[in-house]
Amino acid sequence: MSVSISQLSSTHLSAGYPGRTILQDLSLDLPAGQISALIGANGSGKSTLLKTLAGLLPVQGGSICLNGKDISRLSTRDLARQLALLPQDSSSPEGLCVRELVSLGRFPYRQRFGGLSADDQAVINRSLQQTGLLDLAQTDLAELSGGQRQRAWIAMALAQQTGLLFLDEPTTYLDIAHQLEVLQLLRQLNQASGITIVMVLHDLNQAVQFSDYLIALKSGRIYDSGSSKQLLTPDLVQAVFGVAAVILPHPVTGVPVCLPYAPKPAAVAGSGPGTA
Amino acid sequence: MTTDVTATAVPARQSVRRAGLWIPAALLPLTLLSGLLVGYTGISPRQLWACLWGTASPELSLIIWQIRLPRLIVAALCGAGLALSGAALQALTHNPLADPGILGINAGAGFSVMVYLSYFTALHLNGLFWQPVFALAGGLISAGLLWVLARRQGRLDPQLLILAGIGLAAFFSALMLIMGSNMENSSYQLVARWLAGNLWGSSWYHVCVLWPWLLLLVPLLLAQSRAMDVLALGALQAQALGLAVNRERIKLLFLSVALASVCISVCGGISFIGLAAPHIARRLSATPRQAHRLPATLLWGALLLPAADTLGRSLPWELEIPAGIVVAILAAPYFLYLLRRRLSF
Repeated sequence: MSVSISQLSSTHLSAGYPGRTILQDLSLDLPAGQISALIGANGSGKSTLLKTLAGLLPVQGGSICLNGKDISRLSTRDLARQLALLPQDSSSPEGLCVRELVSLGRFPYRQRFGGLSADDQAVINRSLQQTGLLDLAQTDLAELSGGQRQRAWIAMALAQQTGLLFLDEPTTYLDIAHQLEVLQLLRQLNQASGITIVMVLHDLNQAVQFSDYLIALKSGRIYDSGSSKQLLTPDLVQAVFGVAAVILPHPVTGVPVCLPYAPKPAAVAGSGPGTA
Repeated sequence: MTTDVTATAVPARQSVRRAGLWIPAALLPLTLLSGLLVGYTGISPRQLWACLWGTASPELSLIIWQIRLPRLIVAALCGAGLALSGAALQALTHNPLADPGILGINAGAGFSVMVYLSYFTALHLNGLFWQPVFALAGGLISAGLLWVLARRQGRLDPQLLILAGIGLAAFFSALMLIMGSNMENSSYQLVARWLAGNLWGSSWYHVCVLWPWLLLLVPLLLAQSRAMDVLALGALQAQALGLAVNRERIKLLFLSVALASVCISVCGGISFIGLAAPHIARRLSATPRQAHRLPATLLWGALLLPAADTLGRSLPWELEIPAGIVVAILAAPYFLYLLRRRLSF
C-alpha cells in the first residue's frame, strides 16, 4: 500500500511563540512527492516553520492548507494520521525496544482498549523492513548506534502512515557515515512511496545533494526557494548566512558544492614577544 | 518471515517483564498473613485457622476480624492508591523523583485536619466521618491552588507544577507550625501522628470509604497507560503522534491528586510510597510500557504499606512506629543511594 501524495501550502502565514512573532507573511507551496530542505542561519525560524506547518504551534495570522483543509480545523489525532514529525530532541524511556517504539507510531489509529490489530502489526513490520531494522526489532534503543536509533525513530514515523514526513535536523549528533546513512534512507523512502519529506538541515551540501527543493529562510521570511541544484549560488550564501563562498561542481557527482571561506585576517593578533 | 524474528527474542524479555508482577503477587499473601499473626497479641496459625471457622475465642476473633484485617486492607488499598498517584505524577512531570507529597497535598490535608481539631470541636463526636472529610477537602483545596498557580498561557506547565507544589507545601507547613504552637498538647499529638501517616484505628468503615473511590479512579488511570507511553517521548513528539498533550496532563494531574487525597484522608500523610513503588516496578520490568508497569506499581504499593505497618507493629520493647515513618526510614537511605549512583554516571 502506497501513501497518497499530500499537498501542503501556507498563505501569508505568521507564527511564533506567545508575545513573540517569528515568522512573517510567509507563503509557500511544498512540492508534493519531493524532498524539501529548509536552510538558514541560526534563529532564522527553520524549526519554528517546521513545527507550525505540522500544526504543533498555533498560527498567528494567515493559514496553512493540507490537502484542501485548513489544519487548524483538524484534531491533533487527525493531523497525526496525515503528517508525521520527528523533533530534534525526543527522549526515549529507558528499556524501550525498537519494536515498542515503532508500535507507538500506531497511536493515532488505536482505540483506547485492546491490543495491536493484525493490520497494526503488518504496518509495524513493514516500517521495520523499510528501515532495515527487522533483525534489531527486539533490541533496546540504548544499545543501537546513532544511525540505527535515528532509523528507529523514522520507522515510528512511517508507522503513522502519513503522506508527509517532517524532520528537524535528522543528522545532528551523528558522525558523517551515519549522516549519509540516514539521508540515503530518506531518499529511498521518498522514491519508493512518494512520501513528501521536509527537513531542516544545517549542512548546505547535504541539503543540495539529498533534496529536490530548497527553501532559504532569513529572519523569519523566505529569502528564496527553488530547485536545489539551481538555488545554491555565492550570492545566496552571502545573503542568508553572511559568508563568502565559492560554488563548485562535485568532482564525482557533479552536484554543486559550497566551499565557504573567511577573508584572510589582516594580521595575526596578540602573539607574544619571541617564541621562547 | 517476520514472525520468526520476533519469536526468538521475546521469551527472555518476557520472563524479566513478569518478575515485576509475580514477586509482589507472591509476597502479598505472605505479608497479609504475617500481618494478621504478628502484633501486640501474638496469634498462632492454628488460632487463625480456628478463627476462620468461628471456633476461636471472642477476643481473638475481635482482634482478627475487627482490628487487624481491616487495618491490613486499608494499608493495601492506600498503598496501591498512593503508588499509582506517584506513577501518574512522574509521567506528568517527566521526573522519576516526583511524589504526591511534593505537590503540597499532604501539607494541605494536614493543615485542614489541624483546623478541624482546633475549631470544629462540635464535630469531634463523629470524628470517624469528619476527619477524612476535612483531610480530603484540604487536599483538594491545595490541588485547586496548584491548578491556578501552575498554568502558563492557559497550559499546565510541569516544571511550574513542581515549584508551585513545593511552595504550597512550605506555606501550609508554616501555617501548621504557627497553629501547632498555640494548640493544646493532646490535639497537637493527634495532628503529629496523622502527619506521620498512621493506620492505627483503621476500621471496616475506612475500607468502605476507600474502595468505591479506588474502583473508580484506578481503572481511569490504567486507561491512560498508552497515552502515558506516548507522553514519555517528550511533549512535542507526543503531540506529533496525535496526543492532546495539555488535556492529557490535566487528566493525569486530576487522577494523581484525587488518588492521593482519598488515600491520605484515610491513612494520613504517608509519603515515599508514591516514590518507592513506581521505582521498584520500573527496575523490575524489562519494558517501560505502562500497560505492564502500572499493574506492577499497584501491586508493589499494595505490598509495601501493609509490610511497613506490620513491621512497625512487630518491634520489640512494645514500641509501635507509624507505618509512614517505617516507610521513610527504610526508603530514604535507599533513595539517597540511588541519587548518588545516578550522579556518578
